Amino acid sequence: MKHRINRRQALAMLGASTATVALGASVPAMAQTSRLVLGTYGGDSQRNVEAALINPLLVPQGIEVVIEAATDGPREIKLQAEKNLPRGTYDVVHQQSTVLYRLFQQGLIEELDTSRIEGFDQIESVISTPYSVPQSMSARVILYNTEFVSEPPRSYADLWSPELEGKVGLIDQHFLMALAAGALANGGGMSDFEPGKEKLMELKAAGVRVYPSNEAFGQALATGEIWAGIMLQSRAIQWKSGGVPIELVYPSEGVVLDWWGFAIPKNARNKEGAYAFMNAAASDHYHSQWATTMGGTPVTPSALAATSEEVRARVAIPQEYAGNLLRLDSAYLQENYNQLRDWWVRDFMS
Amino acid sequence: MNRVTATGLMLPALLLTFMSLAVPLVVLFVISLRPGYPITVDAFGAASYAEALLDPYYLRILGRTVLMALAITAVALFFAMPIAHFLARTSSRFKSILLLAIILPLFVGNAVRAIGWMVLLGERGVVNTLALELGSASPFALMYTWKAVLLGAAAVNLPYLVLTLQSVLEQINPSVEEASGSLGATPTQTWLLVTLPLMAPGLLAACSLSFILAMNAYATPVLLGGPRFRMMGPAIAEEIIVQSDWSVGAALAFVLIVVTMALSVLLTRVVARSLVKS
Repeated sequence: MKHRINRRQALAMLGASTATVALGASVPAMAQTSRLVLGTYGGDSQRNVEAALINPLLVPQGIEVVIEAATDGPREIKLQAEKNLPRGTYDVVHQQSTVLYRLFQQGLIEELDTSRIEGFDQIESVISTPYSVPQSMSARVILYNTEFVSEPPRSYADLWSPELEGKVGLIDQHFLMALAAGALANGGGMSDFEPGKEKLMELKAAGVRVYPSNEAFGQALATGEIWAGIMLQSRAIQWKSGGVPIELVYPSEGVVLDWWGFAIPKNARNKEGAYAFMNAAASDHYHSQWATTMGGTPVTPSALAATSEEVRARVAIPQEYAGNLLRLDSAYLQENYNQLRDWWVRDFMS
Repeated sequence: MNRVTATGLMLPALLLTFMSLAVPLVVLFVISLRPGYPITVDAFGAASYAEALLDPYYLRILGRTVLMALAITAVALFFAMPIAHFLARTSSRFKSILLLAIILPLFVGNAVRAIGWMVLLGERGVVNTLALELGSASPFALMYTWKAVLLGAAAVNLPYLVLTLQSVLEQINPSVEEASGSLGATPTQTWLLVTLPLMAPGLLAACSLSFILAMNAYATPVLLGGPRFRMMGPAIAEEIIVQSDWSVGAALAFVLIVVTMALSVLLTRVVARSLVKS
């Protein structure tokens, strides 16, 4: 059977296609004032950002937040790939602090007009930057399983003690955390991780275990496969609250603050909405809620004061360590990231 | 239907294939020739290919990937052959249920299946708990080793092999095998001298499919091999996602494509020739 498309049919199909494309193109333009795309992490982080920030603070303003969940890497790649586009995918991105620094250096995220963000000047100075509103902050701590460890570690250097030989765990994605610990235990510092390489090779020789994720590390710690390791205070609090027999220790060499933040890409479609998001993200309400459910340390004194006494006791960094906070040197990490990662993958992990 | 209409009807599918396969490959190839992309873009050149092909680190990973792909195919074939033979020859009323049991894993993503293996193979997993109960002095290190990847990836490829081999075996008339038996051949002789040569083209297709899947595996090596046991798929992702070096990542991707294609063709020819000789 022969069936040829006649002129009228062809014109009708062309018309329908054009109308469909035009309709599709007009949707983002119509929704520009109320719809916002947030690139963030998935899992419980996403659920808590929705519960503590989006639903109570943005939805009542008529802002619809569409979430694209992924890890840091894919979001960073998308921002780089869309660099030359006038309008990108994201209106707000949620990234780890060193990634944010890199994105700012590459000209991919905006320098914020901080006068438009209420409470910005109250943010803990160690983590305050002109390009981001911190989403969460947590101290790096040493964790140990109380059922196996008789002599609790007090410093990073104690992770190399004979009692913990072959029982220390590290996490692949937190390789910089491991290098920093090694450096601090071996005369280095936050701007010089080189001494950490030698210490980590000692740990490798002693039979260190490296896990692919926080969850795998947590499970190993809970079962006694490993007895100690380095982790974020917020995770440690969650695990401990979940009944895992662990204790956390602030290392005597100094307390490193890790943080994550929200930033606005230069080619965001909805910058007004993004600033409304930034205001919500800097609010006491959001940070006190995050501290309560996720164990993060609030980023402003007023947000810490807004938490209950019981939560404050869990998440606040003790006064005796507050004077020994160590700042991440983003410029050093930016310059050395690839060589440090190469060393980790090729020499330490091989 | 005349040829013009047929071509016209095929055009949308061809265009879709071109846009979704050829265009990204061309873009990837251009990126592979721009060292440093996207952070610091240098002039066009083959420096990324030099790194991908000459760096002993990547060569080790490539060699490991080829060996693993061969081993995964061999293990999957070892289990697939009797299952496929049984399914092809059985007239049991449970045949459709058995077939469903083979197909069912394809409904579950590789990552989810890998998590099942993690529960089985972990230091406190089912296997080690049983081993300790049975008197083993210490748990076996299975997770985050090549052994876990081999098992997990072979299980992923098993349904593809079983289904391919079963359809090939069903096309071989059982009376041919019966004739061989009636002429005095043992079951082993019948299988080696009659069935195997008849199913050779399908067998080669199944092995090629498994080899290609194993060469390009990502989720299974990441989840079961962990950070220490690296194959090419995770290594490419590491370059692009973690190191932000798209150019080397793209060059590695092309090296993997070319090596996979070349080895698939080579293995198919070598095996086909040896079967013809036998």
